[in-house]
Parts: sequence; structure tokens; C-alpha cells
Amino acid sequence: MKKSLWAPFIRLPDSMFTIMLDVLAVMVPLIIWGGYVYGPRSVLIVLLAMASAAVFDFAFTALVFREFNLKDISSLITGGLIGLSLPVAVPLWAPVLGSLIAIVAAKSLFGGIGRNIFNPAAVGIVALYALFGRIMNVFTKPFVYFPALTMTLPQSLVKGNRVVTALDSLKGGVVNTSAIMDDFYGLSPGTIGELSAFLLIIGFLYLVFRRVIRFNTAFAFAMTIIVLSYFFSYADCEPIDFIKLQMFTGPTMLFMVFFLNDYATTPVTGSGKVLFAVLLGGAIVAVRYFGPAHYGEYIVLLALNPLSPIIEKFTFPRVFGTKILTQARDSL
Amino acid sequence: MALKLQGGVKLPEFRNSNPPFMIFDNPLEVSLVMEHGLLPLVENGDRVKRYEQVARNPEDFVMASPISGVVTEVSENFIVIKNDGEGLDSPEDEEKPKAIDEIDYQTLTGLLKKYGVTGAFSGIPLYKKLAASYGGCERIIINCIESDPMVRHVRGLILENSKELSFGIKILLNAMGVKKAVIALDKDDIQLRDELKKFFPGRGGVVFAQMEVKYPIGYDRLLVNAIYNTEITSDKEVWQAGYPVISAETVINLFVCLQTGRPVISKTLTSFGVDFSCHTRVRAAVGTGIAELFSHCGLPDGFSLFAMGGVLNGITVDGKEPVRKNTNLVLALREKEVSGGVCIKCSRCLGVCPMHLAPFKFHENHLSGRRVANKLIGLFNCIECGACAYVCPGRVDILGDIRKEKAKLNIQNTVMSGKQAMPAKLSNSGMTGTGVFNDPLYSEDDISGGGDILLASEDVGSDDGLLDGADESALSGGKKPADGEDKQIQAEDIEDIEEIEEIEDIEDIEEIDNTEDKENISDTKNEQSDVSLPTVKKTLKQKGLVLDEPADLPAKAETKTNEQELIPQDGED
Repeated sequence: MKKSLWAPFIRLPDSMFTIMLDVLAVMVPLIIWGGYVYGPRSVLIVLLAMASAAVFDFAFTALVFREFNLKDISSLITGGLIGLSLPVAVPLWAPVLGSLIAIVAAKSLFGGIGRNIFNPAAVGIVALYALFGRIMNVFTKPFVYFPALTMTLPQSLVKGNRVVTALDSLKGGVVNTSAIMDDFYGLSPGTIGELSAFLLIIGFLYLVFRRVIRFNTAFAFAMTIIVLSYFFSYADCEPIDFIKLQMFTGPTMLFMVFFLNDYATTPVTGSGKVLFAVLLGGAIVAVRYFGPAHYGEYIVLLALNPLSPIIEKFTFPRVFGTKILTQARDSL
Repeated sequence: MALKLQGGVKLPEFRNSNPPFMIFDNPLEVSLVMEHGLLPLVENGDRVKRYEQVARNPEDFVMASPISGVVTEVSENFIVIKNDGEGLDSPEDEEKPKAIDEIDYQTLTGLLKKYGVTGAFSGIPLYKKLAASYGGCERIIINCIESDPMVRHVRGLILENSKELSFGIKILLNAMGVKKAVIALDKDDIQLRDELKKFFPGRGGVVFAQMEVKYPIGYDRLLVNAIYNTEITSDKEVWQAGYPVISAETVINLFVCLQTGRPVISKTLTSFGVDFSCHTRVRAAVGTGIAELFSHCGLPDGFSLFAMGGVLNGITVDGKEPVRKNTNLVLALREKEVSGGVCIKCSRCLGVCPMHLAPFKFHENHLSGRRVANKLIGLFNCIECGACAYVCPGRVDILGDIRKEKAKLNIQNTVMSGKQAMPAKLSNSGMTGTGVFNDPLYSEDDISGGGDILLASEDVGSDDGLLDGADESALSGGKKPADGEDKQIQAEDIEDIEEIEEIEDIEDIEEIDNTEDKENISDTKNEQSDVSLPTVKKTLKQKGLVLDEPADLPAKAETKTNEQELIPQDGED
């Protein structure tokens, strides 16, 4: 069937594909750094997650939606985020299962890209945490390389290398102030992607420069965490060290760069995004105090995701030439 | 400091390109569109001369023949004239006004009707604009901005006709009894400003407003908003609110007509092949078919589709589609496969929408069929500039969806207004089903050449607002469909009847809201004008700008929030 050309006969070169490529480009240094700290197994975990997510996504769209769009590489990002949010000691089936849950349950069943309510990667991680919390909480020493191709690491191998992370000790109110710079550069234990706050900041600046994400949102998020940490610094240290700890350990920076800026699951309006970022920042500080040491951030993200349509509803701008906030009347 | 537009897109600069100029005033065939109540004065087989009146509306607004030839077809919508090659002109008008001061308002409107002067951008006859704003405006805004990124003829036209433009402005000011003309132009167009300044020595009552180079700042509502910081409610046009925005080409036409005693028969426009071939400025006879125009401009092979309107918001049309008095850009496109896009909610469309709408919502509601919701969130405030679709990374046809939704809502409004009983004629529908592609605007016919896009768009009741221009598209919002739409009423099922009842309720609410708006907005307007002239002068002096305004102006006229940003006319004395 011949189709007519649509009205904008020229278009901005930015497309979905280039946006996704930009985001993937930010992931590459993180994966490489993960490989440097945790060895080839970490790279394999991320790549497995990405590949399986892509396979599940293309298979689902081709079989169920009867569409096949090779340029839709958003599933690679979902998979990458799952891989980056896992510790290196997980069995190799974990990233695949996480991707399956993320793509099928959280994304495709909601209608595909742009229609999901919950962040797919966060759903995958939280599901893995809920089902296999024990394997998810195993963090190991940096620069101890595990064999890459062993499906499940033998208990003997892991046991000697287990280590207490900064977030774990924070639950007991203990902060190791000397290790904070290690947290910043990425030499302390953690999940594969959250190691280096330094690389994440560079990636963040790149995405802001490319106008993929907004500076305001991330700024509001960071400021909320900083201010709340300052006033509620419950640990046994200076507030400034506590702030650094909150920012540089755990997935805070990962949230600032990736999860907070997911298009589909955060509000579309500028002020709505800022409000969402403030809520998320507050919730992260709270969940670290009240909740589990690890992966609580993903749970509060999922709790806040359904709020975004409601936030949107009340932050739509006033239509030019009217005084009515007509958007607010739109039923959800 | 240029006056800013909130939202909008900065397009890549093509301003350095200087397309060649050519004249094409002798086409083989012209078809004149009967708009604004024009009724044919000629019959089939009549011989007409150039400049001869062929149609007139009840208010004596006249359409003249652009060529000499034989009338071959007369219908309600078209008069088709075939060129006979003799080039006969009808005699000139004997009585020409001698001096600018002689032309008062009555004379001017009489002449404007006689010469068929029409807004070069809006397509509204100039006399209508003047009648709506006569006595109620303090300034006239002359729009010298090339509204579309590809349009290149306006600037050249003004440079070549700066004398005509300035005398036209003087005539307008005199006839309307207005003291001040605001000339809106691009901020870095110093050459144009200096050229125009020559004709207003001393205190000419002219202020230059230098606008940011951004699309779509040329749209009159946004222009007025950028200069005066007033939002004009969508239920009235800018000239009804006391801000007559008249494009420079219209003013030039006005003066040339008065000078020569000839009606308007040509339109200067830009032609553009989308791969940058055939980018020319053309002065074409009104009614020339686009395909013929392009063949004259030397269009290379491979272009099979045509469009007119704008490079961001044009509509694909048949090659026979005639040039109108408000056609500014004609486009030639190569056929290519376009696949449907998907919305990823990146919210870029929100950021660029100059009307502060949420364009992606229209797309969403279009997919889910919630038309009433679309109306509530301001569908009819959309000016169809196409900025949202331009930036969309998901390549969603947002503009197309908006137009489809508007067309369908217009049909429903007609049904509601009780012109005919609902169920009777529903089966005899031009459209089948409620599917996305079963739309008269987007039927396959308009590509294959069998259909007539103009007729189709008129039938669904959106009139030519769908084709071009800010004024028109804004107007089409509240406009009731033209007569003869009864055949096009869609076979809607019972659900839609319920929807229609809903709409009735909602409309009542909206009316009330609108009245409130008007009051509120006019309140803000008054507040803004509280700044007194001395204060403004002081601020300007502090900023190093010299204010040199006509002394006889009332202080009120000079006092708007953004007035500091207007670059005042430097006195030469």
C-alpha cells in the first residue's frame, strides 16, 4: 500500500534509536569498569542480561504484536540495567530470569514500549530479590575474579571472599570514612554497575549534553538526598561524610542517571519530573533507614512509578489563551 | 535582545540560501477557489480578460481573473479558466486616489474589496480584518517574518518593495486613525530594518520589534504574545482583540493595487523540492496548479507528490491544487514508505508546543478513541504548527492524528447542532468504519491523484484551515462546517451518540470558563499598562537605549511590559 508522507517533511535527526544508543554508550564504560574490578564474569552477566532481554523483546513483539522493529533497542537498555544491578556472584541464570520477568511481565504485557507503568529493569531486580534474596545479597571482594563460565559458583569459592558493603555497615550505624573515596572511584564492593560514581557522573553529563535527560530532575534528586542526609545523618560520622556515602554507594548514582530518567515510567512534565525526583530521593533515604540494606531503592521506585500519571495530571501546563487547567480534567 | 517565544523549535539555518526569483504569470489554466462567500459572475464559455472580475461576494469583495482566456468550468467551489494566449487586459481603473491623506477608512475598504486584497498568510480578506479592528486598536502589527523555515520570498519581496511597504503602512495608519505601526522582523535582519527606516524619517510612528528566529513565531497569536505579553483567548482572532496583524506582502499588495488600479492576481511564494532541489521564489498567477508551477521551476524527476502549507505542517495535495492568495510554500516530495511511529513519552513535544498543550496525549486519545477527552485537553487550541511532530524521536504522526481528531469532532458538532436528524443519513457515508486510515483527509485518493483534497477537507467541515496559516487553523477550531457536509457524516455506532450528549454538557461548562478567561486576561492587560511612559523612558535610558517616540502619542499606547525590548525608531533629526 502506498502511503502518503506525513506533515513534517523534514525532521530532527534525533530518533528513538539515537537516544537509545546514547544511553547504551554511557553503559559501556560501566561494563568495562565492572570487568576490571570483578573480572570477565561481570561482563558476561551484563551481556547475558542484555542479549536475553533483546531476544525476549523481539520474540514477544514478533509473535504477539506481529511487529518487528530492529531499530527498537530499548530492551538492550533494560537488560543492561538488570545486569548492572546484579552482584557478580549470582548464578548465570539470574540475569536471564530477570530479563524475562522485566520484558514479559513489566513491559510487553502492558503494551510494549512507552506504555509500561513500572520500570521493567526495577521489576526484574525486585522479582529476583524477592525470589532469591539470598543469592542477591552476596557481595564479594573487588579484584577477586571468579570463573566466568561456571553456572553457579561453588559455595566454597564464594565464602572466603564475601565482604560487608558500606550499605550493610550503615544499617548498623557504622561508616568507614576512609573508604569513601574508594566508593567514589569504584574500588569498594557493590553491584557491577554501581561501582564507580565517577564514571556515572561523566555519563550523566554526556546525557545532559545530548539532551537525553534533564539536568533539573537529577539536580532535584541529588539535592533532596543531600539535604535529607544532612538533617537525618543517623550514622556515627560527620554529616558531610554521610552525604558522600549516601550519594556514592549503592545504586543512588545509577538511579540518577538511568532509572529516574526513564521516559515511560516518570512524569512527562518538567515540574512533574522534579516532583517525582524529590519524592524518590526522600524515599531512598527513608528506605535505607527503615528497609533492607540492598535493593530497597528499587522497591520504592516501583512504589512511586504508578504515581507518575497522577503527578502528570496536576502539573500539565496551562493551555495558551485559556485560564483553565484543562489537562487536569482529563480522566486517567 | 530579541523578543522570545516560549516553546517552538529552532530549525537549522537555511537563511543564507538565496533562491533565484522568477515570474510565472501566464499559466495554461487557472482554477480560482471560491472562498469567503464568493459567487461566480461568469458562465461556462465566457471569454474573460486579465484583471476582469469573475466572482464577487455579497459584500462586494471581488476575485479577478489572473489570465485572459475562456471559462471552461464553473461550480460552487471553482472557476476554471483556460488561457487563450491573447494576453488581453481589462482597462485600468480611471479614478485613482491622489494623496495618502485622501484615503479614509470607507474609501480604503471599498478599494480593498474591489481589488480583492487578501491576507497573504491568513487568507482572510483584508477589509474584514480592518472592519473588526477599526476604532478598537491602538497599533497595527506588520509581520515581516518568514514564518516557515523554508519560505524565502518575504524578505526579498520587502527589500525590493520597501517603498511600497512603507507607503502602504502610511495609508493604513491614516485610514485606520492609528498612530503606531509595529514592524515585526527577525532579530538579526539589520539590513531590512535599515532599509525600512529610510522611509520613516524622524517620528514616523513606526516601532521595530525584533523577534527571535524560531518557528512558529510568525503565527499572529504568538507574535502578539511575544511583543505585548497578552494571551488572546482562542475564541477570538487577534484582530478582534485589537491587535491587527497584517503581513508585509498584504500591505505591499494594498499599495500596488491603489497605485496601479489593478486587482491582486498574483502571489509570491517559495517552491521547494524536499531534497533542496528547485528552491525558488516565484511570483505565480493565483490559481496556477502546483504541478504546472513546478514544471516551470524545473523540477527534477522522481518527485511524485506535492504538498502545500509549510515544511512542518503542510498537507499532501494533488498536482492540480491551485495556488491561493495565501499560499506561501509549495513542496515537491519523493514518494517513500513511512511506517507508523510509537510514542516513548519522551515529553519533547510538550517542551516545544507553543500553545502549551500535551501533543502526545492527542495521539494517545486518538488510539484509544477518546475524542471528548481530546477536546477537553485543548485540541482546538492547537494551531497545527507541526513542531511536536518535528521533534518526535518516535516518529509519531502527531499532527495527522490531531487533524483527524479535529475533523471527526467537527462532524459530531454538526450532528449535535441539529441540522439533521441523527440516524437518517448516517448510512450514506463517505467514510467507512472508524479506523485510523479511513479518513477523508488521508484517503489514498489524495496520493493517487483521483481525489480532491480540497473538497474532502471542506466537506468534513474544517475548511481551508487545514491547509495553511495560523489564522485559518485557529479559526477552524470554532468554525461550523460548511453546507453540504450531510453526505460525509460518518456511520457512528450508538456509543457515539452517548459521546455527543457528553459533549453538549461539556460545551456549556467551557463557555462559562471562557467568559471568565476573557475577563481575567483583560485584567492582566490593564495591569500591564500601568507603567507610565516616563518610567519606560527611564529604564531605557538606563539600559543605554534612546527612546524616540512620537510625542503626540498617548502614554497608554506605549506602556507594555515588553516595550523595553522593542527597538525604538532612531530619529534622524
